Amino acid sequence: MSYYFRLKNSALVEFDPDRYTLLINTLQNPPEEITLARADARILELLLLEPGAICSREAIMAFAWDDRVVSAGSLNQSIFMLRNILGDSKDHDLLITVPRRGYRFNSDQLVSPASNIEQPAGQSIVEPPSITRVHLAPAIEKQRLGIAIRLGYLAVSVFALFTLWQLYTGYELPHDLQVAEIKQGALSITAVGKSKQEVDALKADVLSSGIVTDHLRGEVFISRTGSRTNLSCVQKTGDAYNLEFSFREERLISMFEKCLGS
Amino acid sequence: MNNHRAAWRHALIITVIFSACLAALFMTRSVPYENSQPYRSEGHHFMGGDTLDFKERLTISEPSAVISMLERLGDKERHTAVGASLVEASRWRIKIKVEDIQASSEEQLFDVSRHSELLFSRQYFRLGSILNLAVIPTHGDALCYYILELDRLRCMND
Repeated sequence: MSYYFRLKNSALVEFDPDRYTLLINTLQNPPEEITLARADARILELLLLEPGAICSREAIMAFAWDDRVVSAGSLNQSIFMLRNILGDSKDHDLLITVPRRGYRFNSDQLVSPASNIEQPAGQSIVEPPSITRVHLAPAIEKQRLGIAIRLGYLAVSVFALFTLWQLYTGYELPHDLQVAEIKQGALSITAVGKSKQEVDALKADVLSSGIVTDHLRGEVFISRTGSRTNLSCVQKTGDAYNLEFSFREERLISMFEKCLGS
Repeated sequence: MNNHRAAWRHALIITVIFSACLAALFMTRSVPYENSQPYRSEGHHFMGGDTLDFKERLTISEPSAVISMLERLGDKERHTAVGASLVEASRWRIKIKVEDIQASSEEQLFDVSRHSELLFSRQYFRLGSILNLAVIPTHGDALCYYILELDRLRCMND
């Protein structure tokens, strides 16, 4: 559906919101068609949906840029462009700024679709309420849609933050247990202890024991309490085995072999 | 028309993010064990010239857990069943409270004066005590944990 309104120079303008075009008819010159930028056309469409009603800057931005985040400067720029095109850059009589509230279209400039170019200036006919009513419901619906989308994004953002926090706490190992992995070919040795110093010392002892592990496969977990060492293994078959021994009395490599079933 | 298309696009994005979050949450809330699945393990304690053989079984059937142990030293044998309630279970932590202990014998299988550390580690199961099983990440399906109160490391498989 097209909208018709008059400019200050009495030119009749037909605005087609679907094609983003303005057809400007003047008495003196042949009709001129101008294609507006999409956002500019959407702004004009919103203001014309409810002529005379004030549209907030936020509502205009949401409608014109489909809820994309744009700066206030973009809106100012679009209004500036529209006013230039509509010859309203000086007086702002057509696109009226309502301080701290937004913008409205001057409904006095609207004319019925039946009006033609021969109609004298100054005798503009206000668009029948029926035309406006047809567009009011979609406009409200669109505004509500914008709010719903914003609320949806807000809710999903909060949920995403909560999920990230859960992921962080869920995947982080408990602070009261320290582990350090030593990878030796197909064998993985993990030193386990309650403090980092304890684990580092155990890791150093394992490394300095000079064990040859080329023939061993699987996972070994090692911890030490006092003189006793605890070895837990997951053999290559998937079976688990556990050994406890004195680090001083037993050779580490033979314990590894027993534990891993080699 | 444009607005409706955009609204659908936004709704789709919101739904995708929401579903991804839900899936991620479901994964983080998973526990490291399978409910009612008995985990078994066996091993040896080397004590000088002697070897104490043991078998252990852990079954967590929410909201309770049972740890069964069978120890053998030479011809002497002892078995213990510890009934516990599950206090907390997360990806890396299983917290249980000991509610019941049944042992076939109160006697120790080994010379306590010679192996005091072993005694201390094995006698900790006390009624009402809380045990924290810190789960250790493994590459396979085995359940490996460290009981913080006992300084006991165990790997078990189902």
